[in-house]
Amino acid sequence: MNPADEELQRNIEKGHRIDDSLNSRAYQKVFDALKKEPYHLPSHFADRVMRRIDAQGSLSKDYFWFGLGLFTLIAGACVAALLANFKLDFGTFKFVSGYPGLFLFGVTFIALIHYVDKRFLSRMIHNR
Amino acid sequence: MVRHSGAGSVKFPYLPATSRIIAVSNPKMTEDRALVCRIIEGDRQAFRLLIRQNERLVAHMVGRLIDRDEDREELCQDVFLRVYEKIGEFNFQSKLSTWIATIAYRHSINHLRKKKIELSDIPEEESFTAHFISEDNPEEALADQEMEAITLKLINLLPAQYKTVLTLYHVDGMNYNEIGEVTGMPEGTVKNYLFRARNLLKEKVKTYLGKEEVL
Repeated sequence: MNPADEELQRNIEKGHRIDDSLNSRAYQKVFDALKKEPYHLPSHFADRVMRRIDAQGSLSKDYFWFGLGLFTLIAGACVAALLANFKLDFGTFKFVSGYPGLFLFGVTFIALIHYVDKRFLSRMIHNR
Repeated sequence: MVRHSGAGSVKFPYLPATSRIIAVSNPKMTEDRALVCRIIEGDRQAFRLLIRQNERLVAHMVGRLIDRDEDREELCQDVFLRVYEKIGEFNFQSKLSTWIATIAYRHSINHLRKKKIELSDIPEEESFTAHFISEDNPEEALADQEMEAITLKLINLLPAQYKTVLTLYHVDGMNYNEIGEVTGMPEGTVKNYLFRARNLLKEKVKTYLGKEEVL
């Protein structure tokens, strides 16, 4: 970097008087533009952030209850199946028992759709 | 748990002795501590105050690095959500605003990466200068826009690292050391980028001013 340029930059920064050369005027324009704020947030920005914090809190509670419900349902179903000596050997169950991964895929897929739906909907609602 | 021992005095039992000395000698740090303690205790108004105090800093950082207007506000919100999650980990080794600026910088850079916007390394000085200065036709641009608007557009054409350093220094009034903390760059690099970026902009602006004089 040119020492004269460095000196000129320092002088403009300190508010010293500069000559009327093209170089100096160009630097002055640059320094003036650099002081401009590039972006302004809306006046209710803080409210929007607080709303998202609230939404996140209630979302995590929702997931807790959803998880607990799902766990109870599966546990209950397993206990009931054990007590009743239930076997997947009739009708549709006979078909499904040949594809053990299908049931697991179904459950995972529904849970994934639920998650994506909640996430996008919640964000859209709270950004309004 | 932070306990208040009386009006105006706050104890920070979990902090190292050096940090306590800094806090006592620097009123801004003491204010930061009191604010952070209130937020950790669950005071929502305190967090609202933190947002108000730092929203311009975050807006400058995000606004300078992200072009799409639709993404800017959401990204600023994400930054403050992150601050809210991590506030308990803030260790008072720097100013609160510097820490928040660091989060905003990393968030913006990650966003650019996710959107596959190229984060070019700082190019070779001579080739980049030549490319930057000879990019478009000054006569056409001058016919439509004011010099300041052109200069602002030119700033946006710079690499992200340059834009960050320029914004933190000129808009937010940070010193070299603070900018180094935010960006992870050595102080010498910050200084070099700052001088070089201003020099590049000046060279480009000169071409416009030169045309103006001829016309």
